[in-house]
Amino acid sequence: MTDMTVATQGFSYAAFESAAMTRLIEDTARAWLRSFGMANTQANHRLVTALRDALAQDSFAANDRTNMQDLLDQAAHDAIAGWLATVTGQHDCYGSTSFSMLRCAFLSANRDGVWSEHFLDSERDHRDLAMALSVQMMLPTPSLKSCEMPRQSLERRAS
Amino acid sequence: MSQLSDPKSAKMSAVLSETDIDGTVYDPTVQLRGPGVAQRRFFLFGASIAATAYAAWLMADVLGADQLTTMEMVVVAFFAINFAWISLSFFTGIVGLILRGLKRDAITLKRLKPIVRKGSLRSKNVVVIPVYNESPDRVFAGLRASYESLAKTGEIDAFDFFVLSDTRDPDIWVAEELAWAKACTDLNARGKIFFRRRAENTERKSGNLKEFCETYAANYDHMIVFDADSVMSGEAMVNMAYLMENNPDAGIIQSPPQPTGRQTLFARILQFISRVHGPTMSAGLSFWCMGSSNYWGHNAIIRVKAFIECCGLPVLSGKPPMGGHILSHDFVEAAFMRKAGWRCWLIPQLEGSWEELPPNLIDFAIRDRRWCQGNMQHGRLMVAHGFRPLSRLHFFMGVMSFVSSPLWLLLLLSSTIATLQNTQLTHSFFPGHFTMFPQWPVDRSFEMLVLLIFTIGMLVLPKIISILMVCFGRDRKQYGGVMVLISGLLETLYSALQAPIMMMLHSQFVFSVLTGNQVGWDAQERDDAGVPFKAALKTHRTIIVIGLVWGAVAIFVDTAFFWWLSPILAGLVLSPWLTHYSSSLAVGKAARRMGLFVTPEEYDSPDELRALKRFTAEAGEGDVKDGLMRLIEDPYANALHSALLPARKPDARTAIEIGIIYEKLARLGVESLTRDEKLLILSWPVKPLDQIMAGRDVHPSENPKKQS
Repeated sequence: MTDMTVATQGFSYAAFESAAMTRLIEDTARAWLRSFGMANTQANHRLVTALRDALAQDSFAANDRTNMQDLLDQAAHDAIAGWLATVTGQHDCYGSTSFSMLRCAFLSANRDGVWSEHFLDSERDHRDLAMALSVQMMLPTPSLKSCEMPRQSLERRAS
Repeated sequence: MSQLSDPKSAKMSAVLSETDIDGTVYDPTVQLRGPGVAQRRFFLFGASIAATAYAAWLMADVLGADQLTTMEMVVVAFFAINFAWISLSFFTGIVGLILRGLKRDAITLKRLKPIVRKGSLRSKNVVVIPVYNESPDRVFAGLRASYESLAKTGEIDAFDFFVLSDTRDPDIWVAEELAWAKACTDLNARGKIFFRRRAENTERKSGNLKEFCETYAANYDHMIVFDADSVMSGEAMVNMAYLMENNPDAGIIQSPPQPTGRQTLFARILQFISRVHGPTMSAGLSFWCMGSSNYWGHNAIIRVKAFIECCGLPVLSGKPPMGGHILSHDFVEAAFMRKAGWRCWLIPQLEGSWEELPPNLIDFAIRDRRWCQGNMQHGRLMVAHGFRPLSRLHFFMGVMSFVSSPLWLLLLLSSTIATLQNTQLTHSFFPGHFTMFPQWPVDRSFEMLVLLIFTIGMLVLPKIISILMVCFGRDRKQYGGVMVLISGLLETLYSALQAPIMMMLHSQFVFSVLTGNQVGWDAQERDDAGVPFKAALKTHRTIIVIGLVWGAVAIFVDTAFFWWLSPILAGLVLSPWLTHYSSSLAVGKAARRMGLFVTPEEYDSPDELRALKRFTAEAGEGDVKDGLMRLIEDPYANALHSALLPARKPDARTAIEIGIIYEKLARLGVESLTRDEKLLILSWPVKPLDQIMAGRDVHPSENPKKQS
């Protein structure tokens, strides 16, 4: 993994993008698109742009324990989750479970690749995609209704 | 959800007005009530005690013809205990036969009628399927068959399904998730079929259910508990829910599951006799247990609120196997229900409830070993405070189902010693005191014959009558026509030969538990697995040696005594052959072709079992061989797995451990990981392949192994 902690060294991203960084951004975008079952050029371009924008805005919290790959992964996650939030109208798309559920739904809805070219397209009206996602959404458990199941005693109760 | 949480007030409102305090109307035609409960029990226990007393007197008379020695007194004592056990079973069978013959309901004693529901279900129900390393194909095939059947009743909205996984095998874990997603998609049942996996499987199955009760169960009024191999018809499930709705004091309603689906000779013999004789015993049990029936752990419906309030299992003091967590939880849960005033019913006429048996004697014994440990714990609960007398009796029966074996063994051994002693003694014509009149030897061979016939009769008579009832009944075609008689004869012969083997195995299990040996927790074998002859020989070698030595001693003691023991000795010596050939799938299928051991489920398979077969065959093609690899390569499986994990973050130590395992995975491939390493990786969202391999110069053509 690349271990270039640009942010921690105080460089501004806008100053330069090395060949290694370009490759890293493209690899990250490709990996994230593949995790959504896609290899679409337009979607790839949008994600690369989103990653570059994130780097350019220096929007990551500088932290010496994270490396560039992790920062890019976080940026990709946030970009996609943000887009999914716009599409579905739900705010809770950033959490691990809800993000994975939406990923599942997108993979199911996009089996024939019909939504690939609209991926990360924030200009478009996504009501039909939102409908497709809601149809494919899995629900692993119903609402939690906690209660205590007390252990019974075998002892004679004190009177 | 019903507001009733007190069984007494629930019962009162139902009994007095057939209308609840909140205005709920109960259907009087399905009320679980019947006349003369005390008289039923008085008759059954009275008859059993009388028969035991007569048999014990007969035995004492036979053995003490000359003079009762100490060893002979021991024999009489063991005989009386064992006979009481047989006697209770005999009279239960006789009552069951009468009820079946007269076509009477075991509870109401009225003429048997099918349940006619008045209106739709009002309750919300959930079918829960606790699984532990079971084949996901089989589990979800059963779920789908039951779901489809339920959908046909039009009452699917009143039911959800919940798979409660305790699985620790990484491959099976991933396969379960994929099977769940497929079932949801295929059945269009998103939001109807749920799945959750427990990270820590404390307290085994009862802990699994407890965790469910503390999280999601309160969303429902009733839960129908399945085993991994259970299948139920929609009608049966809806009827059970309907009975619960209309009997507000009922805590548990148990259906009698019919064993089905296996093809080996061993399983087919057991399936046959369970189908022929099982309803007799269920009817008899239901007759005298009434609202104090037992819970068998699956294929039963439970009132959730009552279960949560009063069935949290205690932890027994001391170390396992006799202490610690309660293993055979079902009997105990029923006893706690009864203690709190809820009723537990066994409804013999509830059809459409199935389960599967172990395919061979070895797997059957393995399951018994597990049950033995659980049932032996019940010995401590028998004397615990607060349980009802009939619950204590159920505990006692559970203990006796295993302890009766060493008691029979002790009876036979003490008989051998007594016979040996008698051959060493010369008859004393003038025992004890000076007299003019000698005491002549008395021939008690007639009484011995009477006792033998009496004992064997009590053992097999209800079963024989059940077979004859089927043979002369209208449905005999479904059991192979007149071949049912030959099937019955062969089953009797087989069970006679198998009984001594089980006696030895159970004695060994009881001894093992009493000496502090524990048993692990493994999934039951659910395929038609055979037992190779060498494996059978290895398992039974001690039994064979015991049989041969015992036989030699018996010949030395008395040839007549040897012949007396010969059925038992034959079972012991022939055990490996019996185990091997009875486990054969080919022999089982050949028997089927000959019309032997046929059950109605085989003759005309119900829709649910046909669907089960179809789904199992379809699912077989999509088996997951390496779950982790699937998650690394397949984005959908990866996303699904991440979505099903609880939302949490690893602590620093775990994060480092996971990092090391990923490094190992990237360098050495997935096959280098241990099961625990895979489980640790799978406990957190799994990185996709390109992320695992990022930053490495991998050239698949040069080093293909690294890719995997």
